[in-house]
Amino acid sequence: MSNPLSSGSSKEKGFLYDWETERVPENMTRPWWNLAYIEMGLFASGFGVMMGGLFAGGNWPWYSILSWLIIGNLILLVFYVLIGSIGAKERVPTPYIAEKIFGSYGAKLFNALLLVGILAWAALGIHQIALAITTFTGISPDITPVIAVLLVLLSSIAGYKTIALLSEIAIPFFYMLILMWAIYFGFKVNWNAWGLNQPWGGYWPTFWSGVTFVVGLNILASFLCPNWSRYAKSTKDVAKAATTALFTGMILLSFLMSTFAAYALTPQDTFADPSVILTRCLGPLIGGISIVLLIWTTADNDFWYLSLSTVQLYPKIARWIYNIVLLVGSLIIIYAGVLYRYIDFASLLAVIWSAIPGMLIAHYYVLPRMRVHVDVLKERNIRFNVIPFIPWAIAAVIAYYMNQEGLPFPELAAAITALILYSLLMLIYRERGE
Amino acid sequence: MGKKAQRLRMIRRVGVVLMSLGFLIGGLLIFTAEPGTTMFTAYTGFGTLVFSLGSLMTFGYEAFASEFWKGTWVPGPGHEYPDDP
Repeated sequence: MSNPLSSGSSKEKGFLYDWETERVPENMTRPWWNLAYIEMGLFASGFGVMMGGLFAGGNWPWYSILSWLIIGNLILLVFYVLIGSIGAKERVPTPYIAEKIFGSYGAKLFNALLLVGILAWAALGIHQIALAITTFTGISPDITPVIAVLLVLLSSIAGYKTIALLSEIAIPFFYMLILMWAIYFGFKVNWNAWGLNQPWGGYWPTFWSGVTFVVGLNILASFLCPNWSRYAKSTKDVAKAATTALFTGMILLSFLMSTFAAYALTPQDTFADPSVILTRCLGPLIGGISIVLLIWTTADNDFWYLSLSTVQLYPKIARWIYNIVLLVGSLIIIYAGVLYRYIDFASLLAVIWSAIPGMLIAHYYVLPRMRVHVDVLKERNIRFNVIPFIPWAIAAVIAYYMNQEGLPFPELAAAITALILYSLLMLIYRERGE
Repeated sequence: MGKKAQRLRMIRRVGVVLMSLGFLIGGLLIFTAEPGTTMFTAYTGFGTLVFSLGSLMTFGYEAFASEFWKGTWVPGPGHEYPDDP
């Protein structure tokens, strides 16, 4: 097996190889706009599809939503740029960066947890694509999960290469054609019937919970940034990609889908089903294609990330084989009828993730200033570092408690707690001064 | 610039033309049709088809190079086009 953290080899690796066990070489880096497309694809489903209907029907004024999105994304941007830059520097995915914090064996525990946690959401993506295909083609829901798996396999099989190809078609479509269609329907909506047009007066009571919602939903994606940012040529490219993806992906797509929802739904509709919204606006064919594309661009990212984590667990098998196994696994979850129980469990598990961005930032930006080398575990041959598990557990308890009490920014508090505690505890590895 | 690079550059240019055409049909002409009408469906459908083909040729032009499918080249900063042998 190649050394996971060795420098890039120029020998031919084949189309399906995603540089999963080696550093991405200079001649495989991608332009910043391409990195932004990948990240926009990841946000497309969450913000474009889910939030649009919620925001339209939530009885919140449009300026409240806009301010939550801007402030929430500014907070997230700090995490995305700092952690994304780690990927551009190391050129390896998050599962291998985790080895620097947890040690090579400790990282296996981290990656196994990640696998268990994210597989539920990845399988949900497959399920949603299947439902959308059923809605616009009428094909039996017993068959459409298989079609959905084949679509996601097609775009995730070669990792970045194939995900980029799908994004290069889908993202311009979302940002140009669908945007124009949203403007078209915007003129036809009776905005007075919707919460988006609420008068001034209800801003502050919902402000903190709104910003907390935006931050909480996406802080997990920040520590997964190295999975794509390892293909960046420089930190500057990561900053440009993250800024573009966050602000256009979340703000533009949310308002765009809110407009469709406001046109398609009546205020009496109890559930903002994205398939129903788009097919009512655009007809079964184009509405169906749009919704499948929106969810597909997110689901393939999920399976890509999962397969990268699996490689760290057992690197002798190629990533694309894990990719197929995970897709088949998600089919089994769907057909066994346990998907929603699994999602309930994954939702409970979500509280543990916010500590990870804090520890990553501490490891790469705080510890080197305190004379603790980034590669300290490797230098001292430590394969299981117990230290990060302590701040991780404490931060998870804090996030859980704050969530239960409805306090603002539980994820941010957990990340900062983990950052401080991890920095302090890791000082035992401090190099002695001259 | 080698022949392959020139061919890919031409593909990108045609892609930009197709994207513009698709935008014109799917993004602008729909303002002349009412939702749910045959013309509306035709404009969105044909516009999507032309625009998506154009965006593949403009942004995903690597798909037209055999080096990409062999895994030996991807477009990126300083290596936008494959070298001729």
